[in-house]
Amino acid sequence: MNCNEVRELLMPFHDGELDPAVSAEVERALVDCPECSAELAELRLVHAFASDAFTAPVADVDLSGFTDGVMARVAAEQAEAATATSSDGVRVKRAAGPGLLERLSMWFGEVFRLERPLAAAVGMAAILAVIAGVWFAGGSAGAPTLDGPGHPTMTADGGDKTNKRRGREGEVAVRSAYVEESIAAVGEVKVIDLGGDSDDEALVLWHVVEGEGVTLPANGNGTGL
Amino acid sequence: MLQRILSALLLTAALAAPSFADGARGAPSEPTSATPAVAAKVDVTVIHATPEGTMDRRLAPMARPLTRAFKAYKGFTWLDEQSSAVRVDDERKLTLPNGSELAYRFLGADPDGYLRVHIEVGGLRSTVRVKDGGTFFQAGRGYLDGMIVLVFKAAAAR
Repeated sequence: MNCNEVRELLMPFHDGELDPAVSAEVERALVDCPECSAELAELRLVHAFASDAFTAPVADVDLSGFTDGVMARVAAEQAEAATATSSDGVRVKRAAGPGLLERLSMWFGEVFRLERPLAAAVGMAAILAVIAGVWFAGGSAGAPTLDGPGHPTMTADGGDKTNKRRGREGEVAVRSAYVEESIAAVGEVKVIDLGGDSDDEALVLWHVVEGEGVTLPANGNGTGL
Repeated sequence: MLQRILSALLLTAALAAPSFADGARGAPSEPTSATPAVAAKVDVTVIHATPEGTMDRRLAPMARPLTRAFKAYKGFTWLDEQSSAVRVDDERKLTLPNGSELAYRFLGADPDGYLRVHIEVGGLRSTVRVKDGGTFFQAGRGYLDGMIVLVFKAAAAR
């Protein structure tokens, strides 16, 4: 029987609960093992102390300061506790948890600390995606935008060189025409584009000469005379 | 850890989604022509627009664009028209009722399908890029109690 086996049997051996054959084996092992013997001796001391304590008269026990000691420990534990479980009739004060901002901050901190390389890649991909989206959408950024039907776009000579523009409800329309260049030896020239993509809203190249009774329109309504 | 990665990816997708949607919606295909047109059919209609009056029945096909372009005018009278096939750099002329002369040339078709038309009338010189089959107006010169409106329609000849 090795020492581990002996140690496991020390308690029942001390209490006299072992089978006689096993008990004899433990006894033989204790003779050969000083450490096991020392452990048995310690076990006997503890048992003796406990027996004395349980059998001693209460009057002989010094209880002075017992109450104060207990209350001091209770106060210390209350101050230390962050939360407490509720029990019937007892109102407890539950400490406030971290706020939303603090939780988000902790989450982001954990994400970037633990998955920093992946987070960096994801962030870079997000930036590239936004740039690409703006670049593609910016193809029509220079073209005028419609506010509604009949909204005229006044352009100077030469007009807008792009032939695409964003129409109603985000629809991109191809313009019917636009003026590339315009020169007038006399009078004034103005290009008025009603903003449509069909012949129903065709471009008008105005050329007005003073004294002929026609004035340049101020808007797309073609006001004259 | 996996949950955090998925959350980060979802957040990225949510931020980038509007840009992609906007970009996808805003890029139509440009009209292209396989071979550049060497000639175009150009229709010129001469109209007398007046503040009062009615729409000439002969102008019914273009009544809507006329009324939308010239809202201050109620009367539109057909005066003349010319329709011809014009080769690149060929010039056509038309005398207008107010004594001016209209000269126009087809300058060719651009790679995006737009036709280039050059017009000269009453001291005005202008080059207009018009969609194949598209229409544009030239207006403003006074005539009688109204003004002259020229309607140009150009289509690549095939």
